[in-house]
Amino acid sequence: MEQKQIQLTIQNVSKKFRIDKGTLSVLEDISLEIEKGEFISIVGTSGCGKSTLLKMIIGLDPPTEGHIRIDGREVVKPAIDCGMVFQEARLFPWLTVRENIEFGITRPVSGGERERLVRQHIELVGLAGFEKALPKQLSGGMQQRVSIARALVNHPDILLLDEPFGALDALTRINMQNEVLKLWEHEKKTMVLVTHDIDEAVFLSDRIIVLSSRPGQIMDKIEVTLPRPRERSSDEFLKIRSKIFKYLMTNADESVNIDQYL
Amino acid sequence: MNTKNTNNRKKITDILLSVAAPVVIVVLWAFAASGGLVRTAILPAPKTVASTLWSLSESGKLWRDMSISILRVLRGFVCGAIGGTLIGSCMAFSKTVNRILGTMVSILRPIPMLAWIPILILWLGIGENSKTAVIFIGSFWPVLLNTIHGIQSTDPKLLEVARILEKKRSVLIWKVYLPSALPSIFTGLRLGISSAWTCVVGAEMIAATSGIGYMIHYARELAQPARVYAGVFCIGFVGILIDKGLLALQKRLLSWSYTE
Ligand SMILES: Nc1ncnc2c1ncn2[C@@H]1O[C@H](COP(=O)(O)OP(=O)(O)O)[C@@H](O)[C@H]1O
Ligand SMILES: [Mg+2]
Repeated sequence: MEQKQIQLTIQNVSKKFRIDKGTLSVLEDISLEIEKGEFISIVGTSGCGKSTLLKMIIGLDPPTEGHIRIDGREVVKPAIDCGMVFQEARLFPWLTVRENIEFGITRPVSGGERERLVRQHIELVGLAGFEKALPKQLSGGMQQRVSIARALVNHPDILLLDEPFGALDALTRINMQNEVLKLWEHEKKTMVLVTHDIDEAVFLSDRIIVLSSRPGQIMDKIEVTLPRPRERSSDEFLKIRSKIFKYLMTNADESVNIDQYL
Repeated sequence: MNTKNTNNRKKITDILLSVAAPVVIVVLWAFAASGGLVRTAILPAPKTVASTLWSLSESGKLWRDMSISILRVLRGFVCGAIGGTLIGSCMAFSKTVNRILGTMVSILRPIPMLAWIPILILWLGIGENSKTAVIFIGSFWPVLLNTIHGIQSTDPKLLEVARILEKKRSVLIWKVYLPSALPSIFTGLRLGISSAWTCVVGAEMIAATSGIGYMIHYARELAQPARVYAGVFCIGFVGILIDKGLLALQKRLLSWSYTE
């Protein structure tokens, strides 16, 4: 029997921000264990604290209460064994595609190995031929692929993705989801994907964490056991999708635009 | 093909528009002078100015004065540019340095260049050093302020990317802060060199025995208005050349910062 190994532990984590009049409670009592190699999605309305949670996992911002541990060690600052892809590609505009990806390498590696790693990851995200292009010469989808390659080239054990396809059109988004799925099957990394696209979460994840809106609390953890690649129009798929949709709707602010979830 | 034609036509229109105003002014000026509307002792005809310019350059007098001024500008500007970027970087990267020098900057910066000239002559004498110092100060401020501004406005989102990749501070400085500040530093250099050019003429008018500023000043004393105008024209012309040259260089070196 396969041994399940917990890689990321989030234990009773709360986050409060100080704002001019008192405090804003953003996340409350979040507890979650993520296994090595698991694909986890976090869904919730915008402003419920999803990005804040990722920032705490990666060590950019400490939790107000509780503990976050990676492989048993408390997270206190960013470390290269945990990578992150942001909603915007965040490429360095003065570096070419090649140089941007190379910037992702922090470990000491020899020149030849560097060269090989960069080439391998350019091919992995399908950007061969664009090595010398500047970010401004690329489409949004291509830029996001460069930023994924930059996060992967360091070989992080955990990859955090913060609404990485939010800014892309529907078709490109579906393409990117397929690519991420291939990547995940190929590299077997632990992936934590934040999204407000329910379809995306059901299509990709082993488990979906549903957060309530302010303060963010875990409403449910939904296992998705459908075999991959998943059929987006299958009954089971649609059932899970509408379950999550109901959670979010009963919880949504009036101001939230329903279209976002359909 | 078609778009190329329209592009060309647009380019020609742009050029025509940008030279229209100077041409109109010269034409009006020529009419005013030939019609006797202005005294030639105040405003000589454009023809007279042009021929003076020609004879000055033929005799080599103009080039001698221009090259003296240009050398002065270069000397002062190089010092000002290096000083401005170095001190600006230190102030932007270190809060302590910023605190130490910040007050000095806000006290000294509003002092007009012309007010520095007598002080610098007192300190450094009437020779080349006081002129270099004036130009140094003139080019130092824009470079300093734009360097600080450029470094401080580095996108925090890019800094986050470098931080999660566990980059060292030296990598942050050389690979993130400075490249992102370069367009702003370059703007500072352009402002700095035009200010240096203004300063050299000012300094030469007040105390010098050579240079284009001196030439203009001396011509006025000898009541040779055509020479005054010829000199002023040269100052403007060289100023444009320098700025256009630097702009072209900036577009080439920092093409990433221009959206097409
Ligand atoms: N540094 C901060 N200071 C104050 N409030 C913050 C800060 N960062 C986030 N917030 C607030 O926390 C809430 C959650 O933000 P975020 O995690 O970005 O939401 P999400 O990613 O789920 O859309 C928002 O209301 C936001 O205004
Ligand atoms: Mg967010």
